[in-house]
Amino acid sequence: MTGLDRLDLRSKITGNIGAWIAVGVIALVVMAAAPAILTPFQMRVGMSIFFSAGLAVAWGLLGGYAGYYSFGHTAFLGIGAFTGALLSNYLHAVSPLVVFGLSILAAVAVCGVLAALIAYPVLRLRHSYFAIVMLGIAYVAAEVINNFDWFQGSIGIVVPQVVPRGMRPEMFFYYALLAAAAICVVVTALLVSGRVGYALMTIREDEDTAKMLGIATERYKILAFVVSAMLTSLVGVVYAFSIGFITTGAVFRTDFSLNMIVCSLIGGIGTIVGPVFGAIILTVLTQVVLADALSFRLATTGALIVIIVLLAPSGVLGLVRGAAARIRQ
Amino acid sequence: MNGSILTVTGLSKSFRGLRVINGISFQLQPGTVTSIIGPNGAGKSTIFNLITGFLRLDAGDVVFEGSSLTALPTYKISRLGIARAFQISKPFPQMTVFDNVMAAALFGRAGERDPTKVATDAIERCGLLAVANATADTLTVGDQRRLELARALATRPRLLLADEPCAGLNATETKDVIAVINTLRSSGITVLLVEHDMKTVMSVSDRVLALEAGKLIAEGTPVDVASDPGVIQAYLGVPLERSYFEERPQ
Amino acid sequence: MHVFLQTLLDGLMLGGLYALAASGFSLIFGVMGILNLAHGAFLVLGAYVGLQISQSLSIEPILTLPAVVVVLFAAGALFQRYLVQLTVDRGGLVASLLVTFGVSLIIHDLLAHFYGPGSRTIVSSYAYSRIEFGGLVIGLSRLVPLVVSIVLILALHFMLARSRLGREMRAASQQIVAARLCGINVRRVFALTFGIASAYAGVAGVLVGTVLPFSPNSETYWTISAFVVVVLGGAKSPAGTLLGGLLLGILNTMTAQFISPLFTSTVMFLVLVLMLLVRPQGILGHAAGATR
Repeated sequence: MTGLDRLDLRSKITGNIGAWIAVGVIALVVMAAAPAILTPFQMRVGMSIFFSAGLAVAWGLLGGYAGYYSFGHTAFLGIGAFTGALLSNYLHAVSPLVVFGLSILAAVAVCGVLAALIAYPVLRLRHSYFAIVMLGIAYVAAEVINNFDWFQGSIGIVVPQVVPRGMRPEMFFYYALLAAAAICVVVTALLVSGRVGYALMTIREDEDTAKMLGIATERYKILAFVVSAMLTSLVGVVYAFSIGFITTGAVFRTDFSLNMIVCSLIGGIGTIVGPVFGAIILTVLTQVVLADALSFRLATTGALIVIIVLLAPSGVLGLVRGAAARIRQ
Repeated sequence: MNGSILTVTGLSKSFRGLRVINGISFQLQPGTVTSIIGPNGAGKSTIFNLITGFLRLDAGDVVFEGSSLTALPTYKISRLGIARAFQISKPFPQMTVFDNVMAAALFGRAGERDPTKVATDAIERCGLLAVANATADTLTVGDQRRLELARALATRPRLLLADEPCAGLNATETKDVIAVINTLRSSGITVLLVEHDMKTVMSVSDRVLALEAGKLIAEGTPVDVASDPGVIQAYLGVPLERSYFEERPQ
Repeated sequence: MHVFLQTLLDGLMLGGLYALAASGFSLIFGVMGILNLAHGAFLVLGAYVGLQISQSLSIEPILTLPAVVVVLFAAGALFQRYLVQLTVDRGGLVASLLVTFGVSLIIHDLLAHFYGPGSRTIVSSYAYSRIEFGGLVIGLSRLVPLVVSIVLILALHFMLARSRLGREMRAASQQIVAARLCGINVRRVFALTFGIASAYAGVAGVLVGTVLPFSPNSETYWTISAFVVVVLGGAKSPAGTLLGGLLLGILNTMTAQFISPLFTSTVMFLVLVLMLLVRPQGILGHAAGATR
């Protein structure tokens, strides 16, 4: 046989899949069992972590793997939230859980279609222009939903209760957000651990060369963009149900867009674990450590992004890894 | 016709009114190495860009194994079996050597069943086994050039376009690259080379195309072209024998 | 026909403002290749500085412009010198995108903290004066910004074309290393570029404030509109910015008049996407192109 056996050639991309699956399953079991011992405050922190982690992983599929930084992903969160909220208000007769399920499906489908429609023009742009155009898309989407009475964006829209009888709402949404985050992680992991992962990474590294290797770059970029948008809307619609009442300002938030980027940057771009760790660090930092500075939420995350870019461009995890490598030497 | 693998007819390209390529026609026979020579700006790299679909041609046709390439996007051209190694190595910097080559093996020409084996073979043939797990941006220039070839090879090409694969390399590294090109030919891959170094051209080519100002001014065996008065006049300025056939101190 | 002419006139006057609001963004992009996402935040900051001064001293808003220029110039130059330059050195242009985005949110949040998140306007003494001729109405509150915009954009044009600093800026935009070798202090030129661009944003902010309501939240809008202006007119010259601004102004008033005021941002966005589709190479006036 060739050098594969002799030299332990292996891909850094696909890596050690078995170990990661094991870690993932254990993490999921621990998270699922945790509510038994968590205080209500800790439950809320947990929900925030799932929310941020799901969004960050969804963002990272496009931003981290394909290298297309979207500065306006909150557009998909908001559109998903409003699709779910509007639809659920039309469904009266059916049972709450069916309403919940149908709303999620509708939100994800609507965002998938919208993303597919705009994907071609926006993904032709080089990276920095893509970033700013996405910022514009979020702005315009928010304005459209705010200005047309039909969407009820400015006055707000009540999202029906879907929690099954006998279950505490925070318990239900703890598990709902956990499931949403888990879906984001699993879908992203499945996509990037094979051919698609290679295609996206070569696009990030050098798009023209990728084409020369026979990679249909347009198609893979569009795939990543659409799936990323769908996953984002999934988290968004669950979030809408969990807060029960949404306005344009509550779901189209620039700081959501920013948080997705910050989590990925903290944890290290182009991985799945990175954004998850980033979400944990960021949430604990803003909700527990800096809980009193909440009136400066934007400024805090804004400052965080500046600090990370300047001091730890490969993420905090990258920094730790680098330090560990130095110690080993 | 007559079993050529690539047939270029009447190839023309202008940039803002300036004709860079002016009605060039040539054919490549399967399993041969053909070199394109010519002074800077003669249009050598433009020909590569036109064949691989990076640029759209104004007139003419490029036919590869019976199918026209002129309307195809770059990635489809690659899938038909045309690979390109760039003059300036463009490895994916943050990926390992193995992953660089693996990406090519996973895509490239259609119909591959065992990409890992293809990638490993390519790495082995280009002598990169020792650095296979290193990230590409840590490689030496010579290794990067070989990675460029390994990656092109892993797309399982029928035709390899190599743009000055030896530029900037020292004598040993140049010899290595030439050895790789020779193995490629012996495994049946057709090679089209852009090369400045006449020593390399003479040692490796079956045929030579000489270009000047977007026109083909001579075509034939290396010796024929090297002694062509038009080529000497236009390109070299001095007789070849004196300037290039002598061993130059490195 | 009359309505059309009036709308066109309104559009041209609004367009002058858009052009001025975008000129700093365009200057920074042209000279340094940086898309400054904090541009809109500097503009809104300028509006609040103007509002604060004119209210505290009870003076005409337009008289606050020299002070706004000084404050914003200093803020922009310091921002470039101590943050943007560092970022570009360490992480390149994408990192600068992140940092300017972060800074825009910091400014946004601080303004919302000190002035509240609600909308404000700057009222000038001539806010309700108007000139009429041939049945067309020109509000002074719109004419003054247009005149100031055109004067300032012309000044920028001549500064770039004729002055030593302008030549140094153009040289640095072509080739940093070569410019350095010619004895140009590139860092100083870049800091001045950011300073001038921010001063222009600040002036635009005060003028915007006399015409339209603004809030901390407006910063995104002004950053995006600056980008659209640059896409429409190119980043090669102040003249291009003026053209892009006027086009956007006309587009906005025409949409508001003939379709619906609710659609102005949407139409602006659709035009942007259309431009990206039909002018993939020409966008932003860069030969290399913004698209693949």
